[in-house]
Amino acid sequence: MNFLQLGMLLALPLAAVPVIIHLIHQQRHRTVKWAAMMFLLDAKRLNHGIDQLRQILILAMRVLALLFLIFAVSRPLVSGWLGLAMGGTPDTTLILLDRSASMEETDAASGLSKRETAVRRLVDALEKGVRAERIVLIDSALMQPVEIERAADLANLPQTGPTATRANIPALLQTAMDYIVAQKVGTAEVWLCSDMRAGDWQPENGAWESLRASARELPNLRWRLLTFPDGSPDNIGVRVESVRRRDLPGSAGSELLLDVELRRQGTGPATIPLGIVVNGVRTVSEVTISGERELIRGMAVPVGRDNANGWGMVELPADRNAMDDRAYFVFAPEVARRSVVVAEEDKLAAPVLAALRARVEPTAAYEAEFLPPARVPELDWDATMLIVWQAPLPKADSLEAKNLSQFVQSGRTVLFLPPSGPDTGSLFGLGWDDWKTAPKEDGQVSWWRTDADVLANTGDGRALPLGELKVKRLRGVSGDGVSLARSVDGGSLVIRGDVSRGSVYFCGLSPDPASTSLATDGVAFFVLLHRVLQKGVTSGALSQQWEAAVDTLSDGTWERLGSAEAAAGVERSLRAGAYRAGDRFRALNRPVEEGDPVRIDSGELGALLAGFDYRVIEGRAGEGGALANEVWRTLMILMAVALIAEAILCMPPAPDAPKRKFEHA
Amino acid sequence: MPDGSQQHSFLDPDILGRLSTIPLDARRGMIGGVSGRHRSPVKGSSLEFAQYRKYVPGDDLRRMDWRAWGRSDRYYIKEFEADTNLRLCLVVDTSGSMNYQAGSIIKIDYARQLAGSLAFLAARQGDAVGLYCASQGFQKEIPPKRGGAHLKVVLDELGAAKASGTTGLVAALHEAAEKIKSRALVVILSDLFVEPESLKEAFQHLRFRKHDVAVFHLLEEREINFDFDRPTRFVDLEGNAAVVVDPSLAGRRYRDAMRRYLDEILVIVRDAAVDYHQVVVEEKYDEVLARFLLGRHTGLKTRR
Repeated sequence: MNFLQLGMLLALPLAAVPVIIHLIHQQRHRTVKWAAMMFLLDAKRLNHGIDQLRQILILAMRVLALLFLIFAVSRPLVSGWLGLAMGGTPDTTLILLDRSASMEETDAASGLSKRETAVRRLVDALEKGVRAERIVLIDSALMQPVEIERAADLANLPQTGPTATRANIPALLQTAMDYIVAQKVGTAEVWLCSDMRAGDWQPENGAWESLRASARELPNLRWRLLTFPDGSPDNIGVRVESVRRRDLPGSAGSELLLDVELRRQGTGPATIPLGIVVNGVRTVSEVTISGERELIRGMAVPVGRDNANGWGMVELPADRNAMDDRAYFVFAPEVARRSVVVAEEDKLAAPVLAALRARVEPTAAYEAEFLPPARVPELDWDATMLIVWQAPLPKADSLEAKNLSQFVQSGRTVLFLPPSGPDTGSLFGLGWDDWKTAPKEDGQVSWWRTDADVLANTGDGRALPLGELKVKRLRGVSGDGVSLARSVDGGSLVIRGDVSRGSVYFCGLSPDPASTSLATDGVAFFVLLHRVLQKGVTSGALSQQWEAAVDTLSDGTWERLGSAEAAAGVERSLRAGAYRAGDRFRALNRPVEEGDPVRIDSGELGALLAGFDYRVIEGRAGEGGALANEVWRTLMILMAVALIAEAILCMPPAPDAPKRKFEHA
Repeated sequence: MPDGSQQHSFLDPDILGRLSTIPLDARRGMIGGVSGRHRSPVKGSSLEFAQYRKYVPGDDLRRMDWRAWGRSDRYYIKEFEADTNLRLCLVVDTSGSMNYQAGSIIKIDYARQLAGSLAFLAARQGDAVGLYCASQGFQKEIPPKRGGAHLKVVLDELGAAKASGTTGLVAALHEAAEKIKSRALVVILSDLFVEPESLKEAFQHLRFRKHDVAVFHLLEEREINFDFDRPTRFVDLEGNAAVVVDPSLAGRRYRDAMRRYLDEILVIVRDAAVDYHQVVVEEKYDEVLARFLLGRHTGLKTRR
């Protein structure tokens, strides 16, 4: 609780005045010599009990009335509910803002989105009472702590604007905790504004355990969750799952085949006009959605033969969330899926080349080239999607290392396989351990990540046969990264490097038959290679369907297509849209997880935030209720109630019989 | 007869002069020692005819009504009322509670004025006057006698009486009922702060002895209505015990208790045919006495 007139609280001792007056009144009694003591003693004896209780209640009412009055003139502010902010003023107020696309769901009456409502209420609360020496904003899109001078600035900051991104709530909390630890914040109040989408909260994320442990070590944190769990059943979101271009026979031209997904929370059949714009030309077709999810495969949109590349979007009529009403796509001619294998010996490169040349997608061209380390300068970096590096790591300051770094930064992939000789160097924070001979060949790969990344289970849910590999010798990987596979002794065998863009993988299993059966029992190896290739293709293709995120437009001069820029700077990459840089096209859309309306309930929230000192305030989009309210009116009413109660208690009891007239018998 | 008012400050000659025009009457026949102005239960030889009765052997032939014999040929004895004097016994409560100061006057002084005036008026009309000062037993006990010298003794003792000690009124009344031999007018002046039940027995004892009992119940207005506005320390006049009472808390119960007590007293005095006068001591005592005397005089005439 905060007070606008804090000095008035100095008058609190005045609340004791009624008690003092009462005591003085009792001490100021005069002495009377009395004859009729028999009645007096009788009356006094009977007086105990109810009358004394009445007297105490009268005093209590008077004291309460004064207390309420003093509190009222102190103009207290109460956040959320009375007990919400009973603590003192925190040193720092951290605002963690979920800027995911789902937060753009608006209230029909006010037109305010959940994000705008959250910002408004926070500004109101911070300006009125939840004061702190420092206000820091961390938004889910940029994940950068920003110190704010005045609370009113919050509404105008680009960091509180709309995005088409997905929030990573565990990472957001971790960023906040890291900031608190780094800045040595004493007491902090953390306001987390979110719509509680399970996709953002990621209950399965392994980071929650460490977050809970961190929260227990930071007891001076008070967490306030301003949640907007309501969803609108009539809102429909659209997403383009895939785009393919094919030429029609004869001179009929070409057409685009779109796989379009519609999602909503409601049920019941509904027919909606679906607008499709290709290179600025708009067509409308009606589609019917009957369930919560409708996947329309192969929607054919004719394009001229001349339109070999371009952009487009699928749009729905405006509804509660404008952010999911448009899905952008781009198309361009397929380029060859080119891989380069840098290997010490061609016999080591052979199985890799064989796998990478296999046509997984019949319409795509697959190329793979072997280069010994000495010929790396000949490598065509721009045309290559994947580099498989089976050679000693280049020195960090070498030209090869810089080229590899730029290659990865452009979004493409490098897979490092163990060199045959000793190698003490490191690249991307990762390096090789010494070769180890396995005590037995079977079951050396004891664990690998099956839920995501390149070793994930296949589409039908089956695990890759990594456990069946025969391993004679292996080379552990050390350094910072996400371990994707481990050997029986707990060492990492496959690690994904910690890079902001592109992908770097270190695999400690060699395809050399003298080391492993990776090449001969090649299922896992084949899948691994094509998955890392696909990651590179996603970045290296001329048409790229990307999720909106930070730095998705930082690798070139990207020009927005179809409409004016909605944002500037880094914020551009957080909005959905179609962009072009030279002959490359890129569509930025909201992540697929943002279309999933599932929210975490209070039970799941309690489990996730076990150990957090948190309170939940549920809000709704457009709701104007302030988080901090002046409650002096309530206190004045309470004072009036106390005074009325005092008056009732002071009322003389039922009137006595009329005063006695002297009787004369 | 000495003019007691000249020597005793509690007597006012003017008031006595005014009151002396109203006779002090007994409500029932008295048995006095000498002839007086009050009826006697026995027949006597006054001029006032009472009744006829049949002659029985042994009757005084001088009282035979010969005219009645001549008219009816039967013997009748003619009887006349006997007049006698009144024996006024003043019982004054001298317990400590009578020291209660009501404004400018103390209850015992008020009782002194009432009792002294009554004694003077009774003596003036030739009645005998006695005085009993009651606290724990009788402090003073002067049997009723006639005469100016005796009146002086009574007034002197009355003037010297002091209120002290605890109340022994009930026991004193029982004792008085036994000690006063023949019918008398017993006037009690007290605040009657005793248990009503015990008082009832005392009154009935006096009535059983055929005394004409009158009570002046001396109270003060605050004692009845308890008009205090702030906590007050009350000191018992009879025991020095002290108690602090907040009138806002205890006032109602006090008034309830007082009301019940006065109602009980009224029932008791009616049952015992006591001539009861509730007196607020702020009232002028001559008015109280005039009301008392007139009430008795009028009542007597009505009963005749």
